[in-house]
Amino acid sequence: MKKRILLLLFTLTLCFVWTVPAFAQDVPEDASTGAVSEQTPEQSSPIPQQRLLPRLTDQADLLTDSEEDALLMELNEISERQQCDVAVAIVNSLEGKTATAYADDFYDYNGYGMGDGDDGILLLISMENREWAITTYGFAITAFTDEGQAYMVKKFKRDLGAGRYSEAFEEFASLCDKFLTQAKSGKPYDSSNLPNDTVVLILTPIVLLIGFLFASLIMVPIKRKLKNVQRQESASSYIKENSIHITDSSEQFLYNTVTKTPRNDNNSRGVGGGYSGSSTHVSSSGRSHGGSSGSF
Amino acid sequence: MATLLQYTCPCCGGKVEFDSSSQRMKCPYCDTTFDVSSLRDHDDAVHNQQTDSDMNWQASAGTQWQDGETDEMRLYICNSCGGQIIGTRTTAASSCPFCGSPVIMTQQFAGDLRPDYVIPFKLDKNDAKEALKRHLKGKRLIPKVFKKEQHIDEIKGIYVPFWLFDANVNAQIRYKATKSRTWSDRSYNYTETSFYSVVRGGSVGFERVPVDGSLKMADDLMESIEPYNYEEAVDFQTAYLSGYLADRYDVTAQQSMGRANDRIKKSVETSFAATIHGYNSVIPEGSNIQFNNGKVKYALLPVWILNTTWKGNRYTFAMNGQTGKFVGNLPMRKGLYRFWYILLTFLFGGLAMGILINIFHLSL
Repeated sequence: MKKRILLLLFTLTLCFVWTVPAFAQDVPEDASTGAVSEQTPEQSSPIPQQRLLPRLTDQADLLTDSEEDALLMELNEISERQQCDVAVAIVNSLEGKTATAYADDFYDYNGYGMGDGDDGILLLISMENREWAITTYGFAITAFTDEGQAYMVKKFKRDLGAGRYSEAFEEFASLCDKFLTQAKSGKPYDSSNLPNDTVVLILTPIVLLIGFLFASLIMVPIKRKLKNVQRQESASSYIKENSIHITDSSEQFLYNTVTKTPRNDNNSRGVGGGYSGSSTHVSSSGRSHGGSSGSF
Repeated sequence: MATLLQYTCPCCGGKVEFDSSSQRMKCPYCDTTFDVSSLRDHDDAVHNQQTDSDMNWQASAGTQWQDGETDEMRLYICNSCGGQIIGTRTTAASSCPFCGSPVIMTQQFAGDLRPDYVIPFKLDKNDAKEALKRHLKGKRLIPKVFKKEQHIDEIKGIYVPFWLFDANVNAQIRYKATKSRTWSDRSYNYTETSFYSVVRGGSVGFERVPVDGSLKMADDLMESIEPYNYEEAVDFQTAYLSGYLADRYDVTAQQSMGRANDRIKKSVETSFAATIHGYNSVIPEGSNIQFNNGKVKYALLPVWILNTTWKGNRYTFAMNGQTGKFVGNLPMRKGLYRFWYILLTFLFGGLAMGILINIFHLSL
C-alpha cells in the first residue's frame, strides 16, 4: 500500500514538473477530413497558392473518425503555431510512382506549405506496398535533416508496422513540433545533437540522488536526535581552573616529503561530431525537396 | 658514529645511517634525510619518555560505617535482574528501578564502604517528568509506548555510586606535527609536508573525575549526564537516602581506575596540544604521565532513571538529578522512517528534475 502511495506521489510530482503546453489554440478549419476529394496530383497542373487539402488525408480509412478529428486538430495546432505545415497523407496507391516522387507531387500540387517559403513537411503512407515517404520543403528542409528524419522514423515506425496508426501519427506530429522548435533556435537536430533518450536514463539516478541528499538533510538529523548518549573521552571539564602550566616546550624540524601529481590537462579535448545537414532532390514540379522514404 | 647508527627513522621506524655524500642522516628504507642534531634531539625525547608512566592512585575511597548507622538501611535484591538497591526502611522499593520487575527481596544492609560525599537531589519527580516530556517532544518516529503518561510516571530517583579521582598530573607529551604547502608548475602540483617533533611538558590538576561504580548503569549513559557541580557535594549522611533509593556499587575503585586514567591522559594530550600553534596537524605520539597525590573518593550522585522495554530491548533514560541534563537513546519506528525517507527522496527528486529541465531546457 505504501509503495502504491509512493508511486502515485512520484507520478503526481512528475506531472507537475513536465508541463505540456495545452492545445488551447482553436484553428479554424473548414475542410472536413471525412469528405476527402479524390484529387490526385497531376504533373501538368500548376502549383496552387492555397492549400487544397486538409493537413490530414486518410484515403485508406486507417483511422476512426474520432482519431482523425484529434490528429487533425493537433496537426493544425502545431502547423499554425510553428508557421510550417505538418501534414499526413494516407493513400491507397502510388500510381506507379516512387514513394518520394508521389509525396513531393502530393505536396506541390495540393498547395501545401505555409508562408513565403511554402514551409512544410508531409508524411505520406501508401498502403499498396506499405511504403512511407517524408517530403520537406522550405524551412522544413533545414529543420528536418537526414539524420533527424531517420531518428523520427525510428520512433514511429514500430507503431506503423504494428498497425497502431493513430499512435504513429501522433508521435510524428509531436516530433515535428519538437524538431521545428529546435530548428528555430538555430541548431536543428542533426547527427551530433539528436534528442538523447539516454538523458532520462542518466538523469533519473542523478535526480534521485539529489532527492536522496535533500531527504537526508531532513531525515538524518531526525534520526540523530534520537541518540544523545555518548561516552566522554576526555576529562577536560574536571581540570582545575588555571592549573595548566607548560614548563617544557620544544619544536624540532625532522624531515620533509614532497609529492607531485600531474596536473589535469583539459586543453587536449577535441571537438567531435558534426552536422551532416539535409540532402535534397528535385521533384517533378522543378522544386527542390528534402525527404526520405522506406517501407514498414 | 657507533651511537648514531642506532637511531631509528621517525618516518618509518627503520635504522637510520649516516650518508657521507650529503653529510646528513639518511634512512635506507624510505630515503628520508635528517639533520644529525635534530635526529639526536628527537631520539633523546623519545628515550626520555620510555620511563614508565606513573598513574597510581592511593585507593582510600570511602570509609567504614559507624555502629548502628546502617540499622535503618535495607538492601533490596531484584529476583528478576539481580539488581541490588539500598533504601531506608521508610523507602520501600516496590519495583526494581533497573528492570521494572515488582519482585523484590529485602534484607538488612551490611558491609560495603560508607560514601565520602553525596550530592543531594535538587530536582524532584515532576521536574524529571517534565524533562522527559521535553525530550520526547517533537520526535515523531518513536513508538507510542514511550509517551504513555502512566509509563512516564514510573521514573525513579536513585543515587548512583561514583568513584571520584583527584590528581595533580605532571606530563610530557611528544607530538608529531606537520606543516604543508602546495605549489604548481606547468605540469605538476606539488605538496611539501614538513614533519616536526613537538614536545610539551607541564602540569595539570584534575579534580573529581567521575567513574560510575555500578554495572547496572551503562557507562556511556552516566558519562552523558556529566558534569555534576561538586560545589554542592556534602558529607554523606544516611538522612539523604530517605525518599530515594541508592544503587549498591559493584565495580570497585581499583576496577574503575583504568577508565579514569584514559580520560585524564586524553585530556592532558588535548590541553597541551592546544598550546601548539602554526601546524596543520598535531598528533600525540608518546606521553609520559606522572600522578602526584592521586586520590579516590566515593560519592553518591543523584540520577532520575526510567527504563522502557520495546521489542525486547531495554531503553534507559537518565537525568542528572542536580543539573537536569537529560539523556537517553530512543528507538525508532523503522518502517515509518523509511517511508518518509523514500517519500522525501522522490519529492525532492521530482523537484530537482523539474528545475533541471527548466534550466537546461532539456527535451525528454
